[in-house]
Amino acid sequence: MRNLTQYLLAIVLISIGGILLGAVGLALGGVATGLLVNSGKRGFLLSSIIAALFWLVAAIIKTTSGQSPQLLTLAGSLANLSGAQAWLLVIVSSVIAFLAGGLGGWLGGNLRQMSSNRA
Amino acid sequence: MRKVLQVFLPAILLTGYLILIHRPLGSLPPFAKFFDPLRGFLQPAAGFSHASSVEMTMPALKGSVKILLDRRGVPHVFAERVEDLPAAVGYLHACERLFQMELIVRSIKGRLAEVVGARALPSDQFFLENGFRDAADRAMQAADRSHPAYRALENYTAGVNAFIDQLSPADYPLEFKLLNFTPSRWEPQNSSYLLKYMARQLAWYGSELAFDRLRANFSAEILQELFPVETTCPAPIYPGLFSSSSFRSSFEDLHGLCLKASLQTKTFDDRDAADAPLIGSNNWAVGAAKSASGHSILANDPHLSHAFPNYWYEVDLHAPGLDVYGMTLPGSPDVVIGFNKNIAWGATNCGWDVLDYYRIDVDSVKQTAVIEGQTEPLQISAEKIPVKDRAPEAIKIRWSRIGPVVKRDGVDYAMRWTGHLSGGEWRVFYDMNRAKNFSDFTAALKNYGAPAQNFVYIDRTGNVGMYSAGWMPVKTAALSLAHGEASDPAQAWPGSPRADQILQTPSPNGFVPFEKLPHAFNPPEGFVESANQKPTPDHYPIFYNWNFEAPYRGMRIRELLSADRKISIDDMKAAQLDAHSVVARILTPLILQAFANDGQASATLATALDSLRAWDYDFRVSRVAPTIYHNFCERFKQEIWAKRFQSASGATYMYPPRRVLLALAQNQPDSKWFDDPQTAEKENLSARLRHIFSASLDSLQREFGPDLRQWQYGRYHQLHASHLLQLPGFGLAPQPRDGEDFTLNVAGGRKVTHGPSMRLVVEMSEPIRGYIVNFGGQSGHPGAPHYQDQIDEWLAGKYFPIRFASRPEDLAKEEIEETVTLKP
Repeated sequence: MRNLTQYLLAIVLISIGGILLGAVGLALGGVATGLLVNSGKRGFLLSSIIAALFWLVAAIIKTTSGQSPQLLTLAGSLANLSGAQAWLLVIVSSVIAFLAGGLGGWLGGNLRQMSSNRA
Repeated sequence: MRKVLQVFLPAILLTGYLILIHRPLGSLPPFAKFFDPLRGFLQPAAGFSHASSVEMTMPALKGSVKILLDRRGVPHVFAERVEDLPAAVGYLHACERLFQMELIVRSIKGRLAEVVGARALPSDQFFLENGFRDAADRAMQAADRSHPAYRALENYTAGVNAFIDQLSPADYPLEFKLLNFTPSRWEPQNSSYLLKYMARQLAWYGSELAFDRLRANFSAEILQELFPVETTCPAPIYPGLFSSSSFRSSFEDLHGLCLKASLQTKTFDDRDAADAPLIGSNNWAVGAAKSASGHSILANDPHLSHAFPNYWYEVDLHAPGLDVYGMTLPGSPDVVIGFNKNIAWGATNCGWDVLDYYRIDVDSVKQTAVIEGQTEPLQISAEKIPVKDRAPEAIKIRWSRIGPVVKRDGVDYAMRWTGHLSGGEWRVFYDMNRAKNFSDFTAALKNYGAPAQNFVYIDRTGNVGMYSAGWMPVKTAALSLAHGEASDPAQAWPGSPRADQILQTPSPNGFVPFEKLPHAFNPPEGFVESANQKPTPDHYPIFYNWNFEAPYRGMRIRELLSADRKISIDDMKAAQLDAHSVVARILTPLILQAFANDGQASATLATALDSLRAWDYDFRVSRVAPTIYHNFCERFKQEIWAKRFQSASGATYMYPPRRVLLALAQNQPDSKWFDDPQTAEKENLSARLRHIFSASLDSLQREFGPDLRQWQYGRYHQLHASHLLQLPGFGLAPQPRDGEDFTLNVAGGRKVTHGPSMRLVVEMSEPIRGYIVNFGGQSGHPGAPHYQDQIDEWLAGKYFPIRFASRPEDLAKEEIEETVTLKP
């Protein structure tokens, strides 16, 4: 139950961070998640996965509506990616989020651990 | 220590990573911004939301404005107060074309390299050194700020900035995200930059330096023969110019003096363009008597380079005292080509030589120059061009009394160009949009300076007219055929005593007075036309260029309109799409004649000749004959001139105009110019035609295979159109394209990159009937629904009916895509 609450909180924090501040927000959300889970390793894993999934889901939702499918194709053509290959850009986007969230989570977890040990 | 490291290591890595992904990597935008799905490339630019109804406030407004966007994204704008229309247009332009507007302004200001990088430096240097920005700034400083047209520019500015102010970085058009910069705020003088940009596109002709290079390598006799001043045009725009007795008498005393002066030939232009396709256009109109409906009808298709977005943005504007429909240029509030409730108008380019170079002796230490015998100081400003990711580039901009001082081939020249002068262009279209008759129309044109245009006119009462408006310098052909000497006072314009002498009347600024510019009103033939050919018949006494766009499109228009029948809207549309070549009609029989006695023709040759024999000279994508003819023509021109007009170092001189080659082929088949200088035998036209035609077939066989049925013109001749930044994928895949250089549906060269930027046909009936198609679409945002939504219709030669709605209620619900209400 405690884990589930942590996961939900992490999802909310990272998502809000990402919505408000982009990659910096994902990292800050990651830091908060790390503080929450009290472990650098778990902070990294949880935050990186949530951040990557958040940008992935956001990109998928985007590309199913409005002009974004065309924009994905156009951006793909800039990188010489044709057709379905353009989705590689969404993967790149997820990787960027993965690292931002993960590094944040690692930092947060270690910070919490250090402060706990001092106490 | 280990614990400290446990915190510092991720902190340092995180900070480094965040810095890394927020900085541009070489030419790539910052990854953090670009790949953010909520802010980056997947987030569409702020534009119309395509929600059914949107309301927003714009403090600059005095009343409310209702904008109904139709299914093509054309705004039908209804303002409570007429002074709010420019603000609404500014808002719409910014909404759909912000990057295009920014790009034009940055081009003229020499600030492209700041956002694009060093590859744009040559462009920035060109525009700054050649005085575009300074001239545009001066033009706006000289503008009458109390004139309502200037206030309209200010309101337009407010509209553009109202849109920019509401943008967040996530809303920026994709190009801003890619180049990683923010939109600049708009200023009234930016509209002046747009005018100078168009003048650069349309009036930057001056052949003298190319002639200078020719003169250094070829005899005067050769130049006289191959580069003759075009005196007689078979189809001038104004064939009956002197049938009006009052116009004739105004010139009678001047005729001898001026013509004599004009033929003191020296000449040539900076674009080396005698043979290159000029950016031209078609317009024509029939009066009530010639019209099948009894109402005058106008057609206009301006030929410009094809790009996305296109130059034009279509609007339908209504307010108390003003109802106007047509094409605007993003960056300026008025309709440039279109109609109101009383008149319709269009434009084609005049192609006058209004750019002259004067060799000038510059003392670079004292920063002075000798002009008309006097040593005068030069105005020199040292500036720095900001360059992205690099130190700024220093530049010196030099101005003399004549104009900017530039270096060409290591020599200093002062340049005189009408585009550098301050005129009243900023108010011309404001006045024209409100014109009610020919008198109002010409009154508006009196303020027009550059780029000179042939303005076509029709009105509600069935009248038809044409006026070639702009600054036409009074000068001799000498200034067109060779550079002038800044030290010689007799050569200078404007303000030259020579101008008054030639005109025998005071000539403000050394230009032909407006009343003496070529024009026609209700000519006896019942129609007017222009296709960039020489406007005037032989005896027009003013010299204004040595060479014009070839007259064949004009001849074809006259052929179609002169037929003994009345003209309908459908006829006008068909003429705009006409792919019949007058030149092919002249040249093809000569090719066939060259093979008349050739009994040993190969199967390929025989089939190709049969194909030409059966051809109706229409350049349609499904035909084979146009491929054979076009490929031959390209080779023919090249084979005849390349060996003679190429220096040992490989530099190519300007080729003789095409009218000269065609005249030689028609009238002098044994001319020495048909002899191949690299063979011992002496060839004539027939021998060269046979040889070049056979070589041309060989090359087509290599490219398309031996089966001639596979040589359809559409596989050979294709349209290429890219995005303004040449971004791959943002343009259009090559498309089969009808037409050639000399067809009304113009499509020059094999790789077609310019042509009709839009097609408009308007009949001044009650209600007004109009048809239009824009190259591309209304939106400048790649991926947006209206970015390329008209291209299929444009390619297929289809039109959209114009909805000139006087009231919002005139538009049916199903016609409306979105409603935007702007409130003060």
